[in-house]
Amino acid sequence: MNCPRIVVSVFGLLLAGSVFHLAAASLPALPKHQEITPNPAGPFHVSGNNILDSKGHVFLLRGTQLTDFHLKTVERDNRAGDDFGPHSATSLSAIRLRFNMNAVRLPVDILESGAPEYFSELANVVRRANQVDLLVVLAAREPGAGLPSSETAEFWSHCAAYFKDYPNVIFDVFSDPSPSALPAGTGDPHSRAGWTVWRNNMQGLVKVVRAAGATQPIAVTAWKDDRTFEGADSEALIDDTNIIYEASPRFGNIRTDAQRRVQFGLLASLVPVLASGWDLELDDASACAAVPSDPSVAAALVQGNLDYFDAHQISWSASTFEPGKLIVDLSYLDASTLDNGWTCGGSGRPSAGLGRLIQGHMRASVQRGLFVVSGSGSPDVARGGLSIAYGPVMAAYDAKPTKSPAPLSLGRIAVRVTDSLGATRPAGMLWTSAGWGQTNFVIPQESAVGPAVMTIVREDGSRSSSNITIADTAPGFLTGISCRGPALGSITKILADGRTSTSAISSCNGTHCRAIPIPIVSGSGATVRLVASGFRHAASAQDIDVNIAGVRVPVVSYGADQYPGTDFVEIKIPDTLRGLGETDLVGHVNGRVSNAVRINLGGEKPAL
Amino acid sequence: MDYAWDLPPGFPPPRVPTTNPMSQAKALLGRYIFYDTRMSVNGTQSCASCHRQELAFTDGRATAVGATGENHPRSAMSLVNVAYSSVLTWSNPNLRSLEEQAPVPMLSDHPVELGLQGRVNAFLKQLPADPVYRALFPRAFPEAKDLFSLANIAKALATFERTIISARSPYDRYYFGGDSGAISESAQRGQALFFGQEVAGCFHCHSGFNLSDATVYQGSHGAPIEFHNTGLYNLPGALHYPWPNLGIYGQTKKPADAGKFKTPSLRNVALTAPYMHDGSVMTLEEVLDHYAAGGRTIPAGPYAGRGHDNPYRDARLTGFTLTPQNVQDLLAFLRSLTDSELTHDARFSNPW
Repeated sequence: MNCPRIVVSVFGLLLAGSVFHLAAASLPALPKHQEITPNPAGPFHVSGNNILDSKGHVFLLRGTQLTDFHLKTVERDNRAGDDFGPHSATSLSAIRLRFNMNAVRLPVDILESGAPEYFSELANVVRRANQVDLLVVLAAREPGAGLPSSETAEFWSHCAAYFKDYPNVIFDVFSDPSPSALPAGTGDPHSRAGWTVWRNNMQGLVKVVRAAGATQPIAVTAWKDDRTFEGADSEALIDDTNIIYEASPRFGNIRTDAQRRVQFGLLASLVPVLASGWDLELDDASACAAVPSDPSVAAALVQGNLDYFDAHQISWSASTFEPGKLIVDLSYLDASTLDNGWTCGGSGRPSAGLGRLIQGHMRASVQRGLFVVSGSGSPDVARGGLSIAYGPVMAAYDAKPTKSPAPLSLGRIAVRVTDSLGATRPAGMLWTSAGWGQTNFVIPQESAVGPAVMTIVREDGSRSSSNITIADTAPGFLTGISCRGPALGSITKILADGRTSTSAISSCNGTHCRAIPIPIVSGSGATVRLVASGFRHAASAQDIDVNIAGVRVPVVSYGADQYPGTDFVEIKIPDTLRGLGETDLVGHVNGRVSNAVRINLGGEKPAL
Repeated sequence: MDYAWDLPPGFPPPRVPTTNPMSQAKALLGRYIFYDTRMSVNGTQSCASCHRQELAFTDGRATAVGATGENHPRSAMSLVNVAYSSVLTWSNPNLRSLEEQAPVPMLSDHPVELGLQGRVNAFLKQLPADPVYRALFPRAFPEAKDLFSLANIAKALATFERTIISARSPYDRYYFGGDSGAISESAQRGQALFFGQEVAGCFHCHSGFNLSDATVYQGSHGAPIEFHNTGLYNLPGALHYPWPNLGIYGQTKKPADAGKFKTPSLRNVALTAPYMHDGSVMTLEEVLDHYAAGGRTIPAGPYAGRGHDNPYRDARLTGFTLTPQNVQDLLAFLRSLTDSELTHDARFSNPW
């Protein structure tokens, strides 16, 4: 439910420019604005307890875990159709935009890495993630091993060499160190002797990575038990300047700040710490037993973790981007919720998860309050651009405008946008729904950029508000449904007699959309006009980066389209992409990525 | 006019007939009449007998019982916020004003409710002798030539009933008052379900500030009034509902209208059990079961049948799946609609 499932209504321009001030009475306090998480800008290095990017800025990982990479499931994991593989550009861009995350943790099985195409296929996933501004933590797993064997070392000698020039990659050298693998007589894994064993094993892998020429930060994971870094002192630290200390605490062991401090909090004042894998594990009956059965109490505990991580500058990777974990399904990529309750160890529907809770934290929205996204599903919205609010819209009835310009009230509600300068303006409205639903509106063109608040004002006097962040640009390509799938747009052909013929590049039948092959003529390519939002204030066409299948294509023109809140981006598809078939299209403007959409390039493949 | 509504946020002024403007004096007179048991044939009942303040002006029975002990076929509707009702009673699309409705229970004889039929004049003759009425009628109707009339009684009752406005529930404080702590987290989740499109969607019929689609107020649009067959029954035969509760079919005689009843307001719904037009659903939990199933299944007995299969069931009531947590949360939301101040508000209590 994070993107417009309702198509943009069609009519002409809008926007009254009147400015007034909203009374703030009777509105509940909103959380502090959440920053857009910075894009990864490697190479990274460690300084003290911080991870610094190439510009010297502190970088905190905010991410989730992906489904394990397996060579045999590459095709399935990158699928795009009625649903999308977890490693597809569509899924990855949803992680970046909808969840405001900047990192993914990608587990890899070292025993599979002998296949000749292994690393090139793995690199495809890494590139797709990097392209949508996600840092990748490559996390090695050695099935059945509690401590790394020579096979893990062998893996890293190849993997680190392969990815040494990928600035936005971090190596997690061994995911599952288990105390059960300690030599007999070592005693408590959290004693000095236990940590010495752990350190020696990790140090060996770090040396292998460095020997391969890779300089990126390396993550070393604590004992996989209920105590993670408990007992670790300076003697346990790895002899390398670029180390991140990773803990995968079980939820039941980090319910209080005191518990968090014991497990990794003390370490966080000395070195960078990454908390990964923490989840409620509702599908695991024993782990789930530690979770309070009241969704609000459980949510408060999760929120406690997030707040602790924020307060102590701890990086984190939460849950897994899988149905029943962070998301409901891989079709609409909607965030999961705890609100419906759960059965411990069960797989009942709807499946419960942390999605909305984490999403709300990352976007500073009130739980069960309004949740506002741009035309791409991103947390920042462009002035003059399309915006969608979900939640307690509570219009009197479903409504869309019947005439131009976009009305300033619809369904007996209005939307006001108060910008960072305190000016409040009415927003043109494109759709509104009764009850708990969505309203589509246009961010007033004159709004100042920066933190802002949108407020729904109802005729009954009630109001609901949400934090938003207004930017000059917030690139998004519109699709038939839910900000993903085939792009909306058109191609104009010049016929032999000089007349022109315009046809759509996608079509939808209900919720099923398909990309129509774009005829690309040998020697002349094709010009496609994409329906978009959030591009109009780009400084120039050169500032707009549109990639198709990883290839940058020229932007011919761009600007406001005739429909409120929408823009157009006209791109030239080079002859070299002819016959590529259906693939991904992603844009960037001013350092912000768009949603990944699908486009189908027809014609015959050029001769090699 | 000396009447100020003093309405809370979210509540528009009710629509009041020009022939019976609001006044404090009339409301006070109506309140005395409302609680006057002399209105009944045997001095045992008043309007308040079936509309008890502590039960949000319902009677707690499945079906109402008249002064002579005769059962009414339907449940006594709440009078809370009746000022906003676009149509009155469960299933009479033609009964639109409280002034028209007030005499119905006084005079009806099939069944007998108050049983005033044939005794109206005798009753009216008593009124001037009562010092309260002798004082209140002239103040309520200063222009009237025929003070102690049935018409004036109806006007006074209607005026009093219009003052019974419930707007102080925790939900009101939460939604209209912006008090985020006024209702529990559970009730907030229930609200999202209630108003959500994807699961329960209750708001499609229980809509607006009064949680009923049969709502009217000053400035409201004249949308057609909808009645709904919720699939409560599916009996063999043409009409599928048990006689005599056939919904607005009783008025329209169209078979497709059989089983269609007005959407009651859900304000104070926790106080108004049992539920539905015939009180045949005992608890809110059973109400949720009924809607979740998209109709009630009665496995055996004279009313056996699968309500979901009722051919005249509202097409929107297709059913939905609720988790146990959803049920708890919806119940918490429904209970947050209880305006407990209303149940002991002195302005509405027995003045005698």
